[in-house]
Amino acid sequence: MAARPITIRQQISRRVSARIEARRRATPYHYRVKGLDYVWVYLFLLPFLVLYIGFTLWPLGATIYYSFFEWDGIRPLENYVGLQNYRTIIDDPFFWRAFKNTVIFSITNTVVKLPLSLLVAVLLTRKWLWFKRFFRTVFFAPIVIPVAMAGLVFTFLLNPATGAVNDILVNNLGLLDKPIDFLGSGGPPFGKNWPLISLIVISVWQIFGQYMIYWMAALQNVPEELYEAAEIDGANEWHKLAYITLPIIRPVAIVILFLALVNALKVFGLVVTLTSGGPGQRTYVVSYYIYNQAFSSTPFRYGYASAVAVLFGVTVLIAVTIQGYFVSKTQSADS
Amino acid sequence: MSKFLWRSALVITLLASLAAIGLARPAAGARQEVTLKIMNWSQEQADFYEDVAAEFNKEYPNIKLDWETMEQAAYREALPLMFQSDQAPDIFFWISQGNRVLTMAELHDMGWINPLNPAGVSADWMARWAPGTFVEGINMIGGEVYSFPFNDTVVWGPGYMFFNKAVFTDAGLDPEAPPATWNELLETCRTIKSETGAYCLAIPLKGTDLQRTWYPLAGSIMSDRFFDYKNGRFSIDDPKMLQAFNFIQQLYAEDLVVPGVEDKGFSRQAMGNGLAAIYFGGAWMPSTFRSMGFEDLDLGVAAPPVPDEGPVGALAEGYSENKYFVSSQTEHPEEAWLFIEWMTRPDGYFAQEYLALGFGTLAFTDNAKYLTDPIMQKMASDIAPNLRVLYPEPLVACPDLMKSQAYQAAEQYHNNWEWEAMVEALTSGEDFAPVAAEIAATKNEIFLATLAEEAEDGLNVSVDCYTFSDWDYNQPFDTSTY
Repeated sequence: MAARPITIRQQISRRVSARIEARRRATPYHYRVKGLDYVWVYLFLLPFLVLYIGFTLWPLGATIYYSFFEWDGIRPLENYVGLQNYRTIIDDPFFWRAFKNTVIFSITNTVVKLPLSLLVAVLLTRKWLWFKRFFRTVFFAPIVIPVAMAGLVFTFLLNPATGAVNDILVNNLGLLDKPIDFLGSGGPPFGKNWPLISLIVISVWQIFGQYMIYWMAALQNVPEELYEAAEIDGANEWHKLAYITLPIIRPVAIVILFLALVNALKVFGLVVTLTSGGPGQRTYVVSYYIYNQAFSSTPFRYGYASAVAVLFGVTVLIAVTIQGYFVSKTQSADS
Repeated sequence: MSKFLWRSALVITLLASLAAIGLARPAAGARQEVTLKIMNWSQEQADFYEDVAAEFNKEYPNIKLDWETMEQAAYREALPLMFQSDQAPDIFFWISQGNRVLTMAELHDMGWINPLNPAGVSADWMARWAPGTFVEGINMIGGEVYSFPFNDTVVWGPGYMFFNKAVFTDAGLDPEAPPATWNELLETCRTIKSETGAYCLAIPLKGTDLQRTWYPLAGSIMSDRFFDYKNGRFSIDDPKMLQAFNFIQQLYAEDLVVPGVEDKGFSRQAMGNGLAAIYFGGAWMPSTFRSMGFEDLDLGVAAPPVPDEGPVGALAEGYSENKYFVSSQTEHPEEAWLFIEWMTRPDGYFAQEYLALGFGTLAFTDNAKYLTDPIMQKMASDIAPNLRVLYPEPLVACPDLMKSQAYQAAEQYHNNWEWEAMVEALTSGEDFAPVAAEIAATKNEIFLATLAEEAEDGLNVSVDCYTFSDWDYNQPFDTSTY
């Protein structure tokens, strides 16, 4: 009985596995720190530790502490209310609406921006592409524009009465009969979901370049000779992406995925400048809800806002923990 | 010899330096220079404040004014943080976002304010205002005066209908005969849209900006407050309030309003440059339009349209204009008082220039005497007298309300809920009534429950303090019936 011929996928996979194994053997895993080196290690860590304690751990601890008080941020911290703030949040429909919007925003934003930025990163690392630097600059440029300015620019661009986008769609291209109120009442085909969709699209536009750079860094780990060998085996671009690129960058991809998700969960600036949570509460997100609770009423509600922040922080922590689980699982699978 | 000369020269130089230093030092008992920091959110008046500082400094050379203005939203966030970090200004401007009558009580409760004058204010100074202006719990605590009405409560305030006369003329309408009723407004809007293509109304919807349009329309049919003082309840679900909302919604449904959820700045621009014909705003709009660069705008002003059967409500005239306070963190209370006394002189520089520049109207002077802007004059003489009526003030009826949190707890339950819900219904075209009912029910529940708790704790408060069943919304409240 004749042996089955080896498929392109199997050929490529074997080369990739052999390559990964060779790299693993070449890497010194257990370099031990000895003697005085410990002093130097901790000395160099010290500045970071001080900053970390001062600007991360202490505020975190203080926020948790404040969340058990009804406190305006000015008067003495006296009115201990126990878990009352948390009970109020659980019963607050406005918080849950903000939470739901945040989850929708984060997942959609991540699902759109990561594949898109990966695709562009792959294209920009191809040898045959001309003007790579130009494209890289173009795609990266939005990230250097301050969020407030980006919000302001899009407020003008998307205005249904005077904005350029509607002007082009209605008057120049004739694609629409009437303007779409992207940040307000909406229009076809997404109806009143347009404001949240607009936020997602604009945030993808703005942050896209950052993830493109992450992907490009990850792609540097893929040895060029694997692509060359795959080409000899008859692989096309899709084969190279699916059977070489993605398996090799998988551990980094998991990290990028969860970084993207966690960053999206913290959306704030664009909401403030574009919609102020509106119209009504249609684009309320948790960060904006916290900000509103803390600052929009006088006296401030620092205690309550702290409780919301802690609750939301726990959510993000769960996401990060899941990330850690997947990362370690992927890394152990690779090794 | 030369050594002697050098030494002598050195001694003489030292003595001369000491003498110079001695001469330069202020004489014992002379007053040191003090800088008073004042803050508010009237950015369009920044140049005026520089002139005020210079003028005040002529009379009080040892006191310099550092008057800082900020955008309103930023100011509302910055000031509390300044108090938190012990960097508060000496004199500051503040209006409560809840019940503005309780501004002083709230600030006192937070420990932000001191009496205006540590030595007490004189009867002569208080006589600059109408009798009955200074009320315990509103601008006085324990006989000490903590604030004073800055703007008057008749002319000053929201509720005016401003319009671009050129758009009216282009539509073949007479700008001297603006719409006076809701139906006339609707017909005028339809004509403007069909004849010029311009929108009829510019209504800002961002944040709480809808209030500029809501106050005059809701005020003409019932009240500009979300609270019904006739029945003692939060009342956004009242059929009359819903009627006012439905009228605005109809304007949107007929595409007569500039689309988009924009802020007041955009809407003012839209009216100023002719994209829309009408903008509802407050008495400060003439100076605001000028500061926005619309010096040549042919601006008209009129009373807001009322229901076709005539006005059945009015906007509130109350004890709402206590806005300037002396900070509890000031190190110069005496100088702060000197400035407040100077600023509130009925025929002083501040009053004369403030009115001449058309920034508004004041509570401590004869406005007619110094107003020069024809739009302001028209507002003061023709429109304002029929726009507002004196509302009852629960705090006067029940002084214990100063310690009560019931109204604020209900009012601030999800701050801005009414505005957000109205904007959501306006942009989606959905029925507002069910949400309005939910808002009113929630707020009334909190209100009544908190009042009951406070009464149990010994405060002399009840819903009766908020109920004035003999009063009608378009009639001035009879203060003898408290």
